[in-house]
Amino acid sequence: MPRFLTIWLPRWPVQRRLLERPELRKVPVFVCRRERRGAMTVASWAWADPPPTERRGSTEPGRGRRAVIPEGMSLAEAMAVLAIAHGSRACHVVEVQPDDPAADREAIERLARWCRRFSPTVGIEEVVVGFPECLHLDVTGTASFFGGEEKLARTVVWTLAARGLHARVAVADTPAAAWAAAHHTERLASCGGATAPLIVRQVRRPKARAEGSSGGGTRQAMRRRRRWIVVPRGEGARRLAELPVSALRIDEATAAVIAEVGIDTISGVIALPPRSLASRFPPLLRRRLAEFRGLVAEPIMPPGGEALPQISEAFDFPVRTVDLDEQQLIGLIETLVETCLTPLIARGEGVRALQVRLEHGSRLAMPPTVIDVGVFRPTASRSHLAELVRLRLARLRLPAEIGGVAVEVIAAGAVSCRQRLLFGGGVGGLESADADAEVAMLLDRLAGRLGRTAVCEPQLVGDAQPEHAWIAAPPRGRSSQGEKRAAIARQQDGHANRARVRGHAMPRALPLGRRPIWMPPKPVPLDDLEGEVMAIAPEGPPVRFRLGDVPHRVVHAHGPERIETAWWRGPTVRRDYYVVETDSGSRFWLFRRLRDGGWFLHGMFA
Amino acid sequence: MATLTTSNKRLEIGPSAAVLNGGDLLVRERERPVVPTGFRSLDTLLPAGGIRPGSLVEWLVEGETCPGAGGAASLAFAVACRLAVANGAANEPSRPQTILVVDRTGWFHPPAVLPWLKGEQKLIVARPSRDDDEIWTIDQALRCTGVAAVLAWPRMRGGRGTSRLGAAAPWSTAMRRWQLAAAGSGATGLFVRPLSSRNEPSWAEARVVVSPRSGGTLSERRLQVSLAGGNWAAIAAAGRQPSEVVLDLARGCAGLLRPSVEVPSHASQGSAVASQGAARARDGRGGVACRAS
Repeated sequence: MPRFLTIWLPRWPVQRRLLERPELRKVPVFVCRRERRGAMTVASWAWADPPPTERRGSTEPGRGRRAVIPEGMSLAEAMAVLAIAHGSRACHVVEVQPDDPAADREAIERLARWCRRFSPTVGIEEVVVGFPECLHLDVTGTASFFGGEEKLARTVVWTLAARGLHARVAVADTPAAAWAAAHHTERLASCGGATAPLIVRQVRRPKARAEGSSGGGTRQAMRRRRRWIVVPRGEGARRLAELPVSALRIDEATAAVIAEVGIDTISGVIALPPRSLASRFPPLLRRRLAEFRGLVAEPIMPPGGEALPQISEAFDFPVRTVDLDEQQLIGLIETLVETCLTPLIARGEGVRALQVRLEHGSRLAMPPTVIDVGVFRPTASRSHLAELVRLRLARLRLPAEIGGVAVEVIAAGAVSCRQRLLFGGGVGGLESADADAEVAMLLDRLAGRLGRTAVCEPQLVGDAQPEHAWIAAPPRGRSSQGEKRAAIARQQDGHANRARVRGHAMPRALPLGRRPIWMPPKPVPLDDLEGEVMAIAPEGPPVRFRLGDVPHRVVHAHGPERIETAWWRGPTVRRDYYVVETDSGSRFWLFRRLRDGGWFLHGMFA
Repeated sequence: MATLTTSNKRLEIGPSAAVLNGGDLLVRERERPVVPTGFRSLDTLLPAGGIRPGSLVEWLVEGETCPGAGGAASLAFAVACRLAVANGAANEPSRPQTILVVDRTGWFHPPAVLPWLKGEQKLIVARPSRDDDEIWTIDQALRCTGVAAVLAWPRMRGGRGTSRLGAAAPWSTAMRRWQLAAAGSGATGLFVRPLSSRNEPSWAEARVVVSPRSGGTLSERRLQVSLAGGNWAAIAAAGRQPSEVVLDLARGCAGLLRPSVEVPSHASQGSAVASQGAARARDGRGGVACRAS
């Protein structure tokens, strides 16, 4: 009997964006589509890591609940719901992004190719055309390689979690039954309970605490979230019969027609006479029911493209970390990296992202220790990658026992090769391309030890508020003229989109020479510095001010430079800035908050 | 033969590539041409007539808060931009065009200096969170041949250490490592430090004291520079008279050195002008109000 495994990736458009920009996990992310007449509606949303206070709830009425925001709700309405559930502060940090079905599709195709490690036949499920969220794997005969279906499902969940993906997994006789089970793991766990031989498991420490749009629930329900389930052979139709009709992958209109006759479970649909089913309901329902019961074969169409290399080395017995020399471990990882690089080099490609997983000893059923290594430009250098892994290893607490090591290429890209000149170029002997390569390797090393967010290439953005006048973009290599033009066009398009989303026009360029080189991330109230400001005119510049114990006498004050902006981020920022020069020649950037007249230090011309 | 020897040295073929001893470093250092800072009076002050790539320069500022509000960091960045200029002259070799700023505090505000970058120059900011990370980051950056200049304001100070080698040993040791790294790669280290550290041992080629002078316009900064020490040549030149530089804050280069203007002793004039500006901004007739709606 064939067996199928379904991977459900809830709210895939949001998950894809969180993969690309992990810093968004801390804020609510809305993926919106633009309807006619410019209205924005929510296509998907999630708040992966809400702050602890929001998770715990609040004493205020309505606060602390999960915001229920269904697909299709207008963005303005969704903001109101979010504000009721989590307070208006949550609305100030919301990240709104336009939907991009093509990019979502491309990303899930990459993931499908990656899943070929579990089965040679992997297909993408699209219940709603253009919005895929599921993968079907034909695991007939392959589960035994992973120690059984239950261990296979667990491995899939853990491996995806190591990549930062939240997934629900189910194994059943048909893709339709596996789809239904994967979408209702919690319900099956609660009602299947003591008598059913269903194998239902939850992750010990779920990484993703994604809050979603589907349904409400309490903390207790969240704790009970199930991540994988195995339906026994030949039991699918019976075990899953009590699931709601929507588990048959039918559209909302068909579900509404069925609900009109008082049927709300799959068993109710199965009990209907076939003749009545054909005459009274759309043909889609009949086909879905046949697929669910296994009466009609459902083809799995794999996406094209080549899978990225991966390799693992399992030890004969778990090795204690204290007995393991770091050089030995690095040597093993280097060998595995070289094996992964060989097919890539043959294709003219290099590694952009690499994952090393240290499997724990067999006695400990724990997720593996994961080391993610990313580079800013594709590299085919084994030693460079091994050095990056070594830098990360030095800062990790290794498990007590290691049962094996797995190395996997997460992303690859074309490597630019260039023949070296015999006598170099220029008197310094350093060519531009050599310098770029050296800088790229330096950035990889810095990001490996300090973290990718600690190394950036600042870029100006069109925001009048000084704190938001630049972004810390990941460093990029030097590109050709054509690539550069395309990048600039994309960037301008992105800014325009952002501006359109936020509903404001691009402000003019920064005034040159008026911004300090030394600026605190947030303005510092002079009261906090035990300082004070004296101004002659009520709305005039400061004449004297004191920072701590040091008094300053102002001999020049340039300004005011009035900044009124950021109404979309919360209370409007209204400030009068002054560049003040003291008698000692020092220059400070002070502003008066127009709302209450309070003085702040916002920079020093260091 | 001489050409072949030079080529071998450039390609690092032979024993000199395997063992890079102090002699090689010295030869490399002397082979590097001096790069003018772009400020004539500063070049006159420096013993080499500019900055030699592969060396360290300390910029000392008054006050305990570093880098303070005296303009030293701006001047150091302007010099870094000059060091990263490629093909500045016909006889000048190609140079790396990347400037790396090591900012542990997170207060460095790039919009102030991004307009100073020209052409293909690139600014990278690294933000270590610990002392050892900061030392390692500076060391790695100075070892990279693709980096023109490393600008940092290290927190680590001498004077409180408990090492058996002396109170200032940790700082001195780290700086010696940085000096060797810079000499090997050709990158230049520019460190902004408080003036109180002038008595600590240093491996910098020059230590420049930067003091602000009042009286410049909004887009200019008048600074007084003097030499406080460094290598033997710098120590010998330390008695030279302090000189003044004018930094154009809009372009990051030398401004026009004008006779010093007498600064009014009170702020009433500035207050009046600013009040008028405030009034203009209120009624929307002018000023420098920046508003996005």
